Amino acid sequence: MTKFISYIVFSVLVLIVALFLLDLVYTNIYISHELDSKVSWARNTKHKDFDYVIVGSSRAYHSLDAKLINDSTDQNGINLSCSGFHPYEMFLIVNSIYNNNDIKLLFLQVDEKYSVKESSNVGIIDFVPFLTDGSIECNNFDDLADRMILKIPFCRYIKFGSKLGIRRIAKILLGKGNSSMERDGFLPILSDNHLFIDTIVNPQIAKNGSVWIDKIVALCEKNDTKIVYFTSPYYNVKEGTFDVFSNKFDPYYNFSNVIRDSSYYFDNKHLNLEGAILFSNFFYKKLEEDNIFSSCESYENASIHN
Amino acid sequence: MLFNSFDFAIFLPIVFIIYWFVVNKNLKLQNAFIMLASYLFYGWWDWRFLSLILLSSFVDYFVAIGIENKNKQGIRQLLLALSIIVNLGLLGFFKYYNFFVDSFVDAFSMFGYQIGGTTLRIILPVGISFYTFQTMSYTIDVYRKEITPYRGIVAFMAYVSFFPQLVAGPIERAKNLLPQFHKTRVFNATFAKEGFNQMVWGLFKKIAIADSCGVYVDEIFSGLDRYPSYVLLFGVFFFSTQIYADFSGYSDIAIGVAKMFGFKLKTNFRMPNFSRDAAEYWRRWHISLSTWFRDYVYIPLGGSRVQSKWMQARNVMIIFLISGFWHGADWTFIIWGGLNGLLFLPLILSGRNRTNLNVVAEGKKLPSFKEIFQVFTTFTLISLTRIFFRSQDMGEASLFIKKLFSMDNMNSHFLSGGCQRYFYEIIPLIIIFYSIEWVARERVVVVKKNYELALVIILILLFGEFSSRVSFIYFQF
Repeated sequence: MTKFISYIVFSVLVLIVALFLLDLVYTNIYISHELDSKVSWARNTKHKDFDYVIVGSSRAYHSLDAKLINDSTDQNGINLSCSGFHPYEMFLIVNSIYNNNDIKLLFLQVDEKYSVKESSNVGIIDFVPFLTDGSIECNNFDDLADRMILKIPFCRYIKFGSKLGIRRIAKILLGKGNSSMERDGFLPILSDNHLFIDTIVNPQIAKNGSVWIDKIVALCEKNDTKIVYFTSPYYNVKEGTFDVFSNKFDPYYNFSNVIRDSSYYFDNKHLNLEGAILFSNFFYKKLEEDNIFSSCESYENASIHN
Repeated sequence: MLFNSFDFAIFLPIVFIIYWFVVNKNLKLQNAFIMLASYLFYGWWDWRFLSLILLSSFVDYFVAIGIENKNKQGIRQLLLALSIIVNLGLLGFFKYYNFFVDSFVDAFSMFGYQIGGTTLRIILPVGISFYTFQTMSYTIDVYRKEITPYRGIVAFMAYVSFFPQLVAGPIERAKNLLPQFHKTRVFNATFAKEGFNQMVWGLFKKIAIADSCGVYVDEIFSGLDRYPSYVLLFGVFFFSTQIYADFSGYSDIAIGVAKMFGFKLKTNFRMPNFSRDAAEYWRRWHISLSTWFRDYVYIPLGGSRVQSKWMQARNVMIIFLISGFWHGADWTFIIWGGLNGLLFLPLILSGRNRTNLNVVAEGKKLPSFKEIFQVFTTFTLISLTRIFFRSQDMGEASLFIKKLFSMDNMNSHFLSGGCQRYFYEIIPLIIIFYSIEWVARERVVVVKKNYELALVIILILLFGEFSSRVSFIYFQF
């Protein structure tokens, strides 16, 4: 029996050592490769001053072509929106970029997810490698199983294996980064249109306020950043749905109904490439018209690709 | 309780410690403990179905003693019939009732008669096809006087419900497993270590290979309209690998765990995907079921020793059709069985069904071109029959086949974004898997040395699909 128990102990040791080593390797790869995701990029980028940063969910990620806006306005900005982002992840990424950089203008997306307190199952994934280093405030992994996942080495990579597993590590090591960074954080949707349905948004979207948007506001005030709130286009959303934001925020731009033609949409919440170009042009022209960019002095030394 | 669950990771060491350190001195206590642990293991799913195992165990235990005690052939036959009726009755009701009702209604409606059929919402008890066959074989063997009934109901109940193989086999024969319950088990470290290694290898097959392939297979079978033919062909090959890794993985875990408790179960798989013809494949796939059908159906029908070729063909087809029906109450399974019978038929009719008895490329590192061709052809043909096995119904199977050969959608996207990420992992993973199996094809246990175990643990961590705990495919049978 002693021989067998020794063998089991050996296996458990192999498991423990493997967990520690793999965790170390994976985490270091994620930390040191800034082009892997916007989260890594935001954490690694240092000493840059951005004229503007766009933060939102996939609805901003696929809708606002920051490169087009930069080329047209001579601004230095970036779109840090990501698929699945809730206000919590929006706060995390703003916090990350503030650690070593300055932002003059923050374009903050507010829409149907405005009041959501919880982290997003999709949006949180890119933050997972950094959740245990103490640099990220994370109260969304509160139940016992989730805490265990964060405490036991490598378990978070196992839980999110399909997104953070070996394929992504191989991709990073092969030098295939996040392609959206080539267009200053914009990723167009090139797929065919999906079936459309009218967008129905709960009219009570802002009733409970938003703890994370409030925190972003506090962070921006502290860093002397001006916030411009906006809502990206929806396909056929009821007029007046977002009036609540007009009363709440200043300046607020309600773009929810600016594009009505379904050929510019991928689905009822996301624009396709043509829609994104149309919207990006409309977006920057409207902001220029209102002197939003010129109201803040441009940073001369900022460059995303430096 | 699933082998790949956290519950089982807690259950197994506790049962192991009590078994070898607390109840190890007393055989009856050991058996009683195995029985209780097995009932707990099974009751974890649904404790109500324990009553079926108890019923099956009691009936067969006392029927076997009755058969032994009676000399009159008529009474012996009646008792055997009782055992078969109870076991097949349970199986028939829980597994096939709705199928028969639906089939009758459909058959009558084909001739213009509309009759009402009442189907019931019946939950299929996990593993019922396995343990009913196991207990039935006991009474049949006693009836045939191949074994004498064993006295000691606790040992018998432990044999029927033995947790490692209760829900998905291997289907053990009484003459192999039951005597082991009547003999004091002495701990053998080498045997237990071999069992542990086999269990870990089984977990690798299940978690890393089967469940990873499953993501891809599910995507393809649920999106037939979207994908071109070549993607569907990949889907067929991946399903073949998935079901092999899933089921043989389960068997490896079952056999491995049993070894850790001092029991030797039958080998259930011997690398079937390296077979050179369908006959060899079926000698290497789910061996405990194939031999069950051989001994209790095929040979009583006359087997291959019947006079006419027609009778030989009939016997083969009967076995394959029943085997298909055993897997599931649907025409898809019957067709699957029939197609495999058709692959087997030319071999048995031409007397070439036992030409490939040894391992492929035995004693050599690499196969010859002829062997590569044979293995590839066999794997492809067997995989194509599995379209019926995997499809939800005949409509889906027909559509799949139509799409497979239609060359439609050749310009469509290869895979949707959700699945694409798996594809590049799966291809190298499957190559690694089959390479290991190839190297170890002449071994009983794949993992032997310490470094091999360490490597498999790392492979599980790297490639395991842990995001959802997926049940074993054969649990549904």
